[in-house]
Amino acid sequence: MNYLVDIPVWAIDISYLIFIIALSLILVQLIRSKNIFEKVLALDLLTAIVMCIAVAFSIEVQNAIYLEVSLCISIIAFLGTVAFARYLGRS
Amino acid sequence: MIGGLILILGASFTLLAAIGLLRMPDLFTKMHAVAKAGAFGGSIILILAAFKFGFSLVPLILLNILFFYFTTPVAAQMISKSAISKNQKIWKGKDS
Repeated sequence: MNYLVDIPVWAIDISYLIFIIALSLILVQLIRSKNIFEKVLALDLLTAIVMCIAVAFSIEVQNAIYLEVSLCISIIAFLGTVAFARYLGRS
Repeated sequence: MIGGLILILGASFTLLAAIGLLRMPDLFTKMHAVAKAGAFGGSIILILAAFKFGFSLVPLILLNILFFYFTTPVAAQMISKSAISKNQKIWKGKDS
């Protein structure tokens, strides 16, 4: 099973580059859109991609403590998005 | 080698979600792209981490998948429900 998960260094670097390109596209959408709901959606995807970067970092340094970072980020992002949706639907 | 390709595949799913957020014509179609593609890309990377870290960390990764893959579509549904009650514009087809 070890040959399957022996991840080379260039794969992690390419995945970091793809994450950075996705983050910049989301930032463009966050600045450029005029609708408040699209901005909330962009913030939700932003925290999701930060969570994926934390998981990729834990794979790179092979330390299992950084998986709990991704757990906390996902919980807080869900609570934040639900709070935004409830507030915008009520006022 | 194969793990590297799966990692790049999971990262490109999130890139597809970000491109879909830019290029889709309406709020509700944007929500389709974000909720489905973003959650799936994260789950692929988490399953690869489960293969790498061995048997003793599988419950933590299952908890991660539960809190990420099962709550992102629920949050998207709540956004769309409040958007309907605020009378957002629905895209009715035809060309862009």
